Amino acid sequence: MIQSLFILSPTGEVLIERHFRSILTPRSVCDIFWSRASESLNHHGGISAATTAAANAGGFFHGNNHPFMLYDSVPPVMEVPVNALEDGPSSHVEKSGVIYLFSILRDGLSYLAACPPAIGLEGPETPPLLVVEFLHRIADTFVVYFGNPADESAVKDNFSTAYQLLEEMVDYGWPLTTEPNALTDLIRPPTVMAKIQQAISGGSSNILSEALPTGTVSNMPWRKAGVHHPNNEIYIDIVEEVDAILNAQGSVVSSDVSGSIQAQSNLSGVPDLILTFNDVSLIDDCSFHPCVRYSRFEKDKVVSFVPPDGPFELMRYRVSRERGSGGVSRMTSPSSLVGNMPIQVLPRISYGRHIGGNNENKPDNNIPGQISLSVTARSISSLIYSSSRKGPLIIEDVAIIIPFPKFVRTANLNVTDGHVIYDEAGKIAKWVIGKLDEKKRPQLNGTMVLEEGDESMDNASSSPEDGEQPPLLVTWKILLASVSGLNVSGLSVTGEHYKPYKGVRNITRSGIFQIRCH
Amino acid sequence: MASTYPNTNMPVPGGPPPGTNGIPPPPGQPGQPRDESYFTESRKGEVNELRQLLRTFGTEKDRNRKRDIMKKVIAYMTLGIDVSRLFTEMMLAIETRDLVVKKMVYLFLCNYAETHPDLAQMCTNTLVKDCGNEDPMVRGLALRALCSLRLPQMIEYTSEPLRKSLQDGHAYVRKTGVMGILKMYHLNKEEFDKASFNDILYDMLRDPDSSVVTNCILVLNEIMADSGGMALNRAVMLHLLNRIHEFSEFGILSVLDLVPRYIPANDEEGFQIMNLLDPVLRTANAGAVVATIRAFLSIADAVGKRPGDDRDPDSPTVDDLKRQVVVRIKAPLVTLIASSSNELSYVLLKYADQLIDLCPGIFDDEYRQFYVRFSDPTHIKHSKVRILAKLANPQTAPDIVSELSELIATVDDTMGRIAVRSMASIAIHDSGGEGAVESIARRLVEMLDLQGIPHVSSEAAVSLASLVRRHPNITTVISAPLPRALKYITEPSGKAALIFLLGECGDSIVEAPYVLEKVIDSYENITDTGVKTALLGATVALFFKRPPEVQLMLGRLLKKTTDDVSSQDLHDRALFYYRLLRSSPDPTLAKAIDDDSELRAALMNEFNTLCTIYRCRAENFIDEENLVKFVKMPPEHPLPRDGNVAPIVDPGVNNLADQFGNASVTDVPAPAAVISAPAYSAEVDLLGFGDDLAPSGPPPLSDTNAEAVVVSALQMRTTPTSTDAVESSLGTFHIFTMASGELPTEFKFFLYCQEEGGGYFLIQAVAQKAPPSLALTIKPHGGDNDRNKRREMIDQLIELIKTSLGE
Repeated sequence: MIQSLFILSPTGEVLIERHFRSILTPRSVCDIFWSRASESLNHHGGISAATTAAANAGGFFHGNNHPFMLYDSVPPVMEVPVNALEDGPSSHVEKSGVIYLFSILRDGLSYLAACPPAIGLEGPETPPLLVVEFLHRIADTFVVYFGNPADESAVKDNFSTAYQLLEEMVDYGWPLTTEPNALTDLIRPPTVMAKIQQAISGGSSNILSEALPTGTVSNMPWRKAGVHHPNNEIYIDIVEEVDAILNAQGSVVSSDVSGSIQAQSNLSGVPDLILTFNDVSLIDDCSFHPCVRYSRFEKDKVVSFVPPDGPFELMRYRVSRERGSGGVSRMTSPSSLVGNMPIQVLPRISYGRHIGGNNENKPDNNIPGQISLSVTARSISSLIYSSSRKGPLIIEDVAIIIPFPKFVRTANLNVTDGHVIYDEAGKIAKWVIGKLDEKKRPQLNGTMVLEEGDESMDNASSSPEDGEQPPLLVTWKILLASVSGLNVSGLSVTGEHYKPYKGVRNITRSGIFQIRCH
Repeated sequence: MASTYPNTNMPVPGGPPPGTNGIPPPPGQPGQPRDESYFTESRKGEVNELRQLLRTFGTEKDRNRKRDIMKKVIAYMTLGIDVSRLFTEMMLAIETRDLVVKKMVYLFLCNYAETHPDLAQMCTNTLVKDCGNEDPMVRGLALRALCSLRLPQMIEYTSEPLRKSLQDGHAYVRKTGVMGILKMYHLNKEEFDKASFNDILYDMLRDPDSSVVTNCILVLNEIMADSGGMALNRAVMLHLLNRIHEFSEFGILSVLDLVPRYIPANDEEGFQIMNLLDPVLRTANAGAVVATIRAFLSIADAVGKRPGDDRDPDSPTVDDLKRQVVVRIKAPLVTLIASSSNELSYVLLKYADQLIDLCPGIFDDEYRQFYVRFSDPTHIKHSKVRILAKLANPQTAPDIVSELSELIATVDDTMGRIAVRSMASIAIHDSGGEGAVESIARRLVEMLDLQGIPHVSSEAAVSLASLVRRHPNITTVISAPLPRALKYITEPSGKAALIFLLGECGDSIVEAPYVLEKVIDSYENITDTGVKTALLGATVALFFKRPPEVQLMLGRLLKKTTDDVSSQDLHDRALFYYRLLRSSPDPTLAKAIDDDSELRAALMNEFNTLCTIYRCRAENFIDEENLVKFVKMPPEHPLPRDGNVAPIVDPGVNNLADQFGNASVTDVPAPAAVISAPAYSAEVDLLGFGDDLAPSGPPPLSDTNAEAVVVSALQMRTTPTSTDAVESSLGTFHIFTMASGELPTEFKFFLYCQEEGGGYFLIQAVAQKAPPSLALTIKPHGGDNDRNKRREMIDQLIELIKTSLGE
């Protein structure tokens, strides 16, 4: 049971506060949370600080689960002693002496849920994952309503809707209505028209659309009733993400391919869909959206479902081992995977000083560091291209993020292709290459000026150990390609009379794709 | 601040900023940026202006302007400004068809009802009326507001609409109603008990709408918390499980949480439940997946076979089942960890850790999933590194160890330490297979030299110290760099560990004593007690290995440590070593304080002798020729050892029978015992009796349950002078002696004889010296099973003895 919910801005200000029962969790829990969170931020220095800056500015790096949103936060489950709270807690909390604070971080906002201790004073124990999942669901819902990213300004602009949503999503501390489709039946999302009107006129708020909610709640919680689209379409993206760690020589230390099927459904009425695959044995360990009939999949290996309206994630899977072992997925021996990634980044970074057994090479702070990166694309047999695809391998949206250690003061970087931005405060460079084919071989060269002074030598954390060059992060995308070879072989609609337009495509892209520099 | 919190606060900005005069700007005028203007302007006077605005509310036609006025009131309320004065005006607005305005008025009402119960009571009618509105949304909202008023005196008004709502045609109203019951329960438990909602709730578990059922479960669990939550029976459980796919992903959790509390009727049902739940592992909701795992494990507990269970030997044991469960859930769990948000991953990693402990080995092949990613938050990295060490087996260990060594030099100190510790734990648990211990030890030794990162070298030293305790044979591998490392490892824990290692590896490090000597000479500079203690221990250990080199420095150290008052423990230890060594400088004395269990066992044998007093074995202080041989007798006892062999024939012989009953070897004093073995039979033969009549040796002593016969107080002719006299006279009747002895007042004989049929009679004879009388106990052994016949034989035997010894 969730006793209270707080949403904090990236600077620790309480944006939203909601108590579900008669207990009022003192607001000072937020202060405790915030002081611990900022402690860990300070502790981990540069990169996370940059991320906060980025989160604040809303620029530089975007996206929900972008690898660089690494806001090194406190553990998501915290025990907060109540005697640490100054302002008078209500008697219930005092008795128990402690409350549990669950936190998640999304788009710079911290969502906090305060739960009573395990047993019985004000309610039974709450499974921790329920709370964490539910906080994420709240954040997801905000994205649906306020757009992506649902950050500080989005929430501030939509306070009233946010509170209405919470009112419907939680009743007396328990999740109530959690499906976005069901919620939009109860509370109208802000419409684009209303926003424009507001922006132009500054006039009266039309955040709530004119039409009142119908109040009819369909018996499929994920799908609202009475959907009508002029054009009936459904788009299905099979997205496979390659998570990998490569070493400086380009061999794969660890890799894993996970896939998901993202769908955008604009279908009228209550369509019942059956999706069939060319070969289900290509995938492992599927998990589905609640709308999917699991038993049908177990029995016939087809995905049978009534889709929610709008975008949703139909399923997730892992590329099966048999398939993966031939390709970029797992292997027993990492060395045999050399060069099996479609993109190869070879870093060479040195800081002009050496530490180790021999002290002959006295550290000289004036010798700048050197960096050079070379990027190549190569077609590999393990990628399976869609039949509609023509021409040579093209990797799109290639970008490399280069974090520098703290002792680097500044960097001077030159690239042969694309452009590079260096963020001095965060000590991060981002090299945007864009499209990459096998002919192009972009290079990055540059020098770094290091911090002077002895304290860098005394302070262990800033002495240039080899291990301290953080790994590079690479993002890329290959359209119409797949690691697993999974494809949709059929999509049939029953229950409705129209013939929808169906679009299916494969995308392979980087998940968390790291290059170690040593 | 807390006291002024609204219970349900809902700032509703989003409209244009009000002009400073509180009148909405004319349409078309560009608004200010919509900063939190509602929150910044908080002048008291504005409440009055709001009141003015609210008065125009009834005549206002523009719905949006109406909403704006409401929003302002609510915004003030959430700021903690007391707008309760507007109560009357707000209540006038409750009669509206605009759902948004209605929601806001309800909110206002709930907030101030507690402080203005009289006014709140006035609008109950409206709320109750709204509970009958045609729109289910309005019905639900009104009901929720009504239940959230928190006015105990309102119970009478609420229970009726509440009851009606439970039969509402619309699920939204029903589920609001169910939650309303819980609110009522917390408000007034007595009224609640009277209303007896429990039965209704149990009935509603069959509601067609799953979210209503979810709420029923939640409410029942909470109401019945004292008795452990909702009552479960087979029908309810199976009903819920069969519908499990209808539940929303959060609702499913409430059902899954019931499963561990349910005891399956039989094994078959347990397995059926598992099959029903199996598809839930396919949901994307981590909470549901983990709740399913818990349900599975609890069923495994219930249906699995336990040791000592007399079930079908083929049925799987609890451990087998749990293993199967973990094998089944491994893939979904690992996928969730890899693909979930950081917060979920963290919680899931903690669960995975526990499952790995439950079934070691199963997760081993997924070890790459636990590799640390640079972008992971610190707490996730730490959990992963701890888990990695547990996944080591001979195949995976090399990869894991090299991965761990990548991590030791990260910016995060704690991380480096955990990585080193994890690596060492692979060696300590010996999970890395052959050669792993040594190669890990080598890596740790390399780390000792990482001067740039002191915490790693220190942690490496600590790990090596634990490693040596577990695998003493690796000392040769690690000894070389120890003296060097002592110079630059500064952290107390690391230093203490190094000093310990110097003591342990003293054999193989030539310069060990001299390295320690330097430390001893700078003893005054050591501040950490741990280091001092380690130094003392190591020096003493080294002293026993290389006494001549260490003796002097040990003396100095003992002096310093006994004078050191900073730690009682250290001081006492030093004194202990000092006294020990003073009593004997002989290093072998160290063994004296070792294990003396052997001596203690030996002393127990010589209990109640001088040995106990001297705490020393007799052979240590008595010359060999004077040693009394300690022999237990008899080597084999003729009579069964259990005392109840003799049924009482005659109450008059109670005493004697008791005596006999208690008779055991100890009754025959060992020194006086004369062993008269069947050798006598030969003697007897010499007296002219045929071999054929002699029994073929002493009877077998296995216990038979034949009853013994006791005969008391046979008159004897004379007091026998010695045992021999009695024995020889009995011998003439082919009654032979196994053992005999003389006590101050009586003689005791253990006799036997054999009948023609091969059966034996065992006889205990006690001859009183004065007056001369004889008590006999005769026990048949083997031979004829006919009781009467045996009895006859015994009578004959008694006669025989009488003739031999009697008058």
